[in-house]
Amino acid sequence: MRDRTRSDFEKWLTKISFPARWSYEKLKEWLVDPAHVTGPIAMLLYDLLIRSFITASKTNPVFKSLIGDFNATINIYTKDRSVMRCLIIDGSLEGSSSLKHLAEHPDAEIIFNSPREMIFTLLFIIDIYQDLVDDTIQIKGNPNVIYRYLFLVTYLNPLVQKIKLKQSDFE
Amino acid sequence: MQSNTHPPRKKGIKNHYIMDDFPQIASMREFILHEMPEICIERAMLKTKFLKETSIDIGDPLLREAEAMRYMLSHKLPLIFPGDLLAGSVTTKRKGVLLFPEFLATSIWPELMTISKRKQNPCKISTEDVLELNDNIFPFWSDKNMNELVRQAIGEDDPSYKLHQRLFFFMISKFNCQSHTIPDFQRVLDRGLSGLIQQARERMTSAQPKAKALYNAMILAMEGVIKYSENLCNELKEQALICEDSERRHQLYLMASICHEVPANPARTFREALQSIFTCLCALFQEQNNVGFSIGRLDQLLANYYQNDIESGTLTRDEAVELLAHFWLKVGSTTPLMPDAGSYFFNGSGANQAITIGGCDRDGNNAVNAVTYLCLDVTELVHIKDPNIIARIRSDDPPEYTRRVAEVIINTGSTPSLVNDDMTIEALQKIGISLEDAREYAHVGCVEPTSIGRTFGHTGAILLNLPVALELSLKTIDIQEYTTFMEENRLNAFQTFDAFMNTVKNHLSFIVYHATRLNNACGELLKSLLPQPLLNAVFEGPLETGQQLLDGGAMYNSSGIAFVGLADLIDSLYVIKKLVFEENYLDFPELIKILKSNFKENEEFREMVINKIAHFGNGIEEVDGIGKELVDYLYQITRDIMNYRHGPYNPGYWSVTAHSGFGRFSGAFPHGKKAKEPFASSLTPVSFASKSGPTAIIKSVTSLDHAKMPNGMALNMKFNKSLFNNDEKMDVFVDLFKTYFKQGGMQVQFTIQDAELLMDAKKHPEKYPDLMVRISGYTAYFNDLSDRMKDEIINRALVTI
Repeated sequence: MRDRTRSDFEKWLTKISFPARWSYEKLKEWLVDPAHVTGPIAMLLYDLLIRSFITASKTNPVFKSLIGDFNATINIYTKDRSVMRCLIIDGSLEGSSSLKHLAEHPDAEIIFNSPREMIFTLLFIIDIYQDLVDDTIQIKGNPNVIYRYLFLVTYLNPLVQKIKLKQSDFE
Repeated sequence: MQSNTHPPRKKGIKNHYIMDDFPQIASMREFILHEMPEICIERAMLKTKFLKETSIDIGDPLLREAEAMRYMLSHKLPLIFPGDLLAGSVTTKRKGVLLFPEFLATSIWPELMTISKRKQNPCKISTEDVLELNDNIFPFWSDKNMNELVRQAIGEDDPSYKLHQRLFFFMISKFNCQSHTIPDFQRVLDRGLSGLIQQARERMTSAQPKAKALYNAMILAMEGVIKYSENLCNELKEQALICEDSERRHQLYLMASICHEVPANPARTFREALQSIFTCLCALFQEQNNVGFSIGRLDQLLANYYQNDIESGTLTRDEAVELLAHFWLKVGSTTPLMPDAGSYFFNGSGANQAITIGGCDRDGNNAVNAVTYLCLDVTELVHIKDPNIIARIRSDDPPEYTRRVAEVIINTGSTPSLVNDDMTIEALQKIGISLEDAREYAHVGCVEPTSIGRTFGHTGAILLNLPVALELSLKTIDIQEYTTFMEENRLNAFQTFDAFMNTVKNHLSFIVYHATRLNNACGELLKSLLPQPLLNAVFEGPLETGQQLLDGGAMYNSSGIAFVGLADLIDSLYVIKKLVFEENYLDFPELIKILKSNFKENEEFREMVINKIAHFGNGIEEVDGIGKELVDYLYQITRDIMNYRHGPYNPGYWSVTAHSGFGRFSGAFPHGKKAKEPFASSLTPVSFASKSGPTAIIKSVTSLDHAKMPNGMALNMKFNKSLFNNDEKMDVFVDLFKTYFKQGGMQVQFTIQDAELLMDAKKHPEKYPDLMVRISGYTAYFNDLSDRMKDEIINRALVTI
């Protein structure tokens, strides 16, 4: 499945411009060397991506409706603790927020083996089941919380083909 | 009373039925073959709504589930689709996917918006249903489904749970279902649900409180089924009133009168019996996930009704074929939910609702009858993957039966699978089932023999990866915390192969221990999550004793383990025996280095191992002896472990597509398997290893004691279809499987397709919508398989006769 997901993604890449493809390939090459991927870089990338999640949770009415009354605290970190973040999804209040430390009693945790694994997962749509088998990712806590979180992430992911949801679907 | 002669068939090249005779069936079949299944949320929505709104004491699981069943069945849409000859449906869709949020349904949460676009097993789902699931249904179950309850109960640091999370040691199916059993439909046909309700009421008067609660729950659930049937009756009458086609109007009134009668009352005719079974199936699938939930010996259930109706002139053979074909299509119209990751292990699998035909009666008399032949005709005519048809083969079978079975296999290319009656009965007796009850066995799911309505066996409870024990022993996989039996630096300390073999056995024991431990924990939780009041009512035991199935109330209690990858383990152990211990060709560190490099720069070594070292499947005693030792050992250790219902575990050797899934997560193996390549399916020899023809395969496979495989086994054989262009070859084919059975083989299944055709089907799937192949115990459409599984089927060793 990892191969399939990647090839889908790479098929999509053939449709985009040459510079973007070139950049992607270069980035991938660069990332192969673990020395290039340090905690701060992984953290920066995560912060960028999670910002779109948080913004959507406050401003996008469809996304807000999908969150509904979902309240969850999810720790996302690397084993070496060089990346430590906590995502708080609060459907009933102001939307979501990200903390720069780990929550003491999270509902679920996603733990990456290393900053490099984290970057690969965030950027290259790695298959989470393969990662579980390879022990490159560990999931702790209520799996249903992770499933719901991944549903929300899928909505925001521009790279996957999905059902189009409109505000009128919620009325 | 029942005729053993083969009644004359109708027309076609070989005197078979053809689709042109049954336009309604043809159109239903086209729909099933070509349409994408659609997710049905009706059951999940009704159950969730009931639990959210109920005032019933939620702490009493049995009462809660019984009331929920009555509510769901009373409110379930009574659907009659155009052209239906049997009323009702499991889902609200013509081809539907049932959701059980109590189990793994929430795992498709991330996929809700993409599931219709995915490559493997895509399913339609409406936007409204996506939102209903996301907003109301899944959140309700988020802290109370099996996945989460197990985690809460045993903790995620539990070693058995952690091994399960790694996916390549074993899979526990209780996270997704219990199912895997066969109800006693005979009691429904004989007594009707009203009769069973009456019996439960009588027993209630003198019962202890616990038993009284069970009887009450059974009654509530059965009342729900009767209400559903009444709703179907009313819907049929309404449709009849507005129907302009007089022939269809007559059909609808006839169906209404049948639903008025059954399953509430005993069945009197063939039509009533078939409808009664189908209505009960629809109801049972609201309680049980439809995974390997099987129908039993349909030819035996229907034989007397058929005979009487034919004699009284109220039914013709053609009408019976049409009704049975509808039954096949109705059964085949429900597919199980498959999260994307599920395709690793259950690629192309349907619900595997097995129907067993032929065999003998309780007294040992041959029981092939007129309906047996009808079932074969329908299997050939309808030619769909579900239901999974299994033909029992006996030495006293009429020759025309055996030949007809062979014809149907060749014409469909894959079905039915064949099972040896004598060996199966022996295996069941060996685990304590009485001779008479053993004779009344049928198959569950893929290949698991079960005494109908008496054995509560969850035959598919565990799928277990055998070769991983070798990886643990060699430390070619890194699970430091679990490698309890040896250290890498001790490998060279082994003086003999037997000492090394003992280490492998210890690791097998270790994996079996953790798998059964987790399965037992899940079983305990099932008692509070999903006791099954309706199944209790249609099973022998609970109604008689007042003890529910999940507490051990069935006559026979067991759980099944399916061991995967035996041939690979045998072959690899033999390579180690030869090259490391006998010939000193290399030592363990050298071997491990080669394996860890995935034979990179050691291709010559791999070629040597494949071509010069003996393999299982070539009839070589020394190799087969390792297999025998392993089978004996696994039988001993599994039978010694008790399940949560105080019954034993039964070992079997079949793999669904887990041989591909486990293989995908594995490294390179000494016998030449490269990393990520699939293991051999079930008990089939490794494809590149089998070089000596069918006789040698049979010799190797039957050298293992099949009586020690009470949870069944599967042997795949692949032939070119062009081989069967004359009658002589047909006779050789029949002789082949009869010889295999005479030598003690338990089960065999065939894929009969030309290799060129399979390769063309891979390139042009649109040309072959109904091309069926055998996987491991079940039949799948070739198009439903991943490229990886397609390659596995194409590359399976061809057998020539």
